[in-house]
Amino acid sequence: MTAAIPASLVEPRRARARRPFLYIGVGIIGVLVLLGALGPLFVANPAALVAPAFQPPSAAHWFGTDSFGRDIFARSVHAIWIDLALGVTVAVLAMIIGSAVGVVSGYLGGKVDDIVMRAVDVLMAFPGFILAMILLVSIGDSIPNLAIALAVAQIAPFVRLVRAKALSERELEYVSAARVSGAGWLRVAFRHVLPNSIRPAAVQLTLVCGYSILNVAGLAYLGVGIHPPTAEWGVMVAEGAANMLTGQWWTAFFPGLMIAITVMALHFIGDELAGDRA
Amino acid sequence: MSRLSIQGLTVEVAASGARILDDVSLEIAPGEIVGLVGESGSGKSMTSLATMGILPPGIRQTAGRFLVDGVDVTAQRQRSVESRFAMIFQNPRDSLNPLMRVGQQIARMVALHQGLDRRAAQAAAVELLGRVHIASPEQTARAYPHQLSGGMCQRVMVAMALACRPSLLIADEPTTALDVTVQAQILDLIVELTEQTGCGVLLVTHDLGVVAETCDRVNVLYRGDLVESGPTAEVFSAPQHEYTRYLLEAGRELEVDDGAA
Amino acid sequence: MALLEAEELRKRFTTGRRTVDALAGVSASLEAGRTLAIVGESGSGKSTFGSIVAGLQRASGGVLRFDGQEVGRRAYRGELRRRIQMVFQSPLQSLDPKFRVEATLAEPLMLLGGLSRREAGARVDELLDMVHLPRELRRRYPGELSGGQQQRVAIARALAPGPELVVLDEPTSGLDQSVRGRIVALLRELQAERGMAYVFITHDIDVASAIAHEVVVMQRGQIVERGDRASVLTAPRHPYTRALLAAVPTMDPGRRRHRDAAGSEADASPTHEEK
Repeated sequence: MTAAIPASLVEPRRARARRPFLYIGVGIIGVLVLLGALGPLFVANPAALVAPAFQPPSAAHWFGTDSFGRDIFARSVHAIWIDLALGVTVAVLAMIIGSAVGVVSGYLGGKVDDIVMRAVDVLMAFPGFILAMILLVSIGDSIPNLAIALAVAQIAPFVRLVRAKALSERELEYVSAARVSGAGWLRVAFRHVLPNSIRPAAVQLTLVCGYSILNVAGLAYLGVGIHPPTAEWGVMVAEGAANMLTGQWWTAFFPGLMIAITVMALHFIGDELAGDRA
Repeated sequence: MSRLSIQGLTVEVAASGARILDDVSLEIAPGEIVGLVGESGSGKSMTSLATMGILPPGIRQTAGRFLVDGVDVTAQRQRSVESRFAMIFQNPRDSLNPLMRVGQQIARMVALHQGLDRRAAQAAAVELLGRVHIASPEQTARAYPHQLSGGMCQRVMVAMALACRPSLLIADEPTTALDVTVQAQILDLIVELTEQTGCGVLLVTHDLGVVAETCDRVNVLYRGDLVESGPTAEVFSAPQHEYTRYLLEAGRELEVDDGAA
Repeated sequence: MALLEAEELRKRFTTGRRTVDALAGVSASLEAGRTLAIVGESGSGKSTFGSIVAGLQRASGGVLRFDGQEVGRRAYRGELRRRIQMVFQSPLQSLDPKFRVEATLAEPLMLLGGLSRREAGARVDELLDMVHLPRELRRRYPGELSGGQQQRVAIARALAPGPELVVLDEPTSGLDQSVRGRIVALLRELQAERGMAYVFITHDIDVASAIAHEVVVMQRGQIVERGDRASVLTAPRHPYTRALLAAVPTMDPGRRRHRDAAGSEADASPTHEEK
């Protein structure tokens, strides 16, 4: 019965300022969101041929022009929306599906748990990328299907994190109390255990968002999911890749840079959130 | 001359300045068992941690002195080692290293304080286990904490405390997590060893019954303030402060009316 | 006819290589409106017994009867679930940290009382009044309440569906000593008002004596002594009961350190090491 001092009282306010990466990450994402929302009003149409092809970066065309003469910066800005929205959608979908599976598996335990965990093991044996491709090929190549396929390919960390927490939460007395109050297992699992087990998964969300963007871009590069002439970073990298050898480096470099910055910012946020948890 | 004299101890939360202990003073004579009683939030555990010099991060001692046999030891960096304070905690199993055999843990303490070599320290550890009335000391010394019951773990803690030939033993709720029959045995053990070694004991507890049966003097802590202090019999029969009266009444409400007491 | 009857109840756990009999043939009965205190230390099986009576676990053998009907073969549902309720040991742990007080209290009303969400919400105030808590607390989270307040909420939740039997597993052990008396008083008051039977599980003889009509002492899965409160506490027959009574620290400074060596060191207990 020793009195415990709540952590909130103990942590000095100064420590909170010493988390530059979090602010950098949030800042970058904030800028991207603004740019993605407002940018299309100010930059050229992504399909417009505004200049001769293969112009290097200049004051007029910050990222240069591509093989058709389209402004790469304009296309990159238009692509922000697609990549971010897809990334977030996939991550949220993966979390929803993964958490539901995880909490049921963790709470029920026994055979259900065994089967589910072996199934997840099988899922994890495939690189996410390959798995998404296989799924897309089987269910058809469209943007909604892309989101579903990528989500399914990434449920594993959510399943494991939520299941692990559910395993310990289910031993706690409030779970027994809910049963005594008349709750069936479904209600106990989703109304009581899940909200108390979701925290570690929520942290994983930003990281999975980053991976999703990489996967979307990667698949587009391979011609799966999103196709030209849609302006999307992966597509643009694909279109520009061949030009690296012929000297027009900017056609692939800048879209690639956008991917890198976005994913990095998301990881900064995710790492800081994860580091907070003891 | 008191063995331990705490004078004007004030402990605060570093960030907010909230006071956990406010100008607390108490004395412990050699061979005396002094109780420190209070409910949760009274600051009683902080008193023991402050004395040992192991306040948690974010909590600071902002005033107060510690005197051992009249000598001011407040400035010592490793007060517990240099002045030979030993402490046993509420959850004995949590205080023991789960990956190390208990005999080895005691031997380490012995080696640290008595400077013996490995073999001599091991032998001393077994002897200490015997002193705390553990039935088969050699066998127990080879056991891991999770193989022992709560009561036996607490005895191991007491043995470790003895390893430094303590001048002061602080027992922070040593029996709260134990079954009542085991509680009685641990308290008997503490009393016996106090009589043998003449060390002072600060017994921190919320249980007035424990205080009544083992403590020579008692101090009552309420929200960081020391509200009453005196010989146990006096405080129990004629409490001065209303909080003390409140605690005594609440405790007596539930007393077994068995006619024998 | 007794409200609750247990005949030779058994519970066996097998973990890895060890097989443990948490209950080795326990028989007891309880009349409506009365309190049966089950006293024992860790490993005695008292919590297992309570858990089986409350329908949280299934017995490995023996028979349990409630109001003449055999129960325990299947999970408690509907009427049976409503009639047998439970209060747990750790008040903070037994309340869902994400649920406000009103949500916690409304849940049994909706699930067992068949009330709609709005009806249940309206009844919350009554429940808080019943356990003498201020109505303003209904929007609070468990972490914002004191231990005593949390336990009162837990009691209100147990009483919400109007049970006839309540199992209380160490309801005062996690509370400060000064608060214990008041919780016990509340429980007695509620029993007098509503005529509920209590199965009161505790290691603390003081608390048992304040509330029990009958007392049963358990050790290692078996009942070693039973009787009404007065006889068990003032004239115990079994040596273990005597050891328990002798070990309890009393508040009399005159009775110092002269306990006779009360039995040998308790062996490592079957299911739990500490309480």
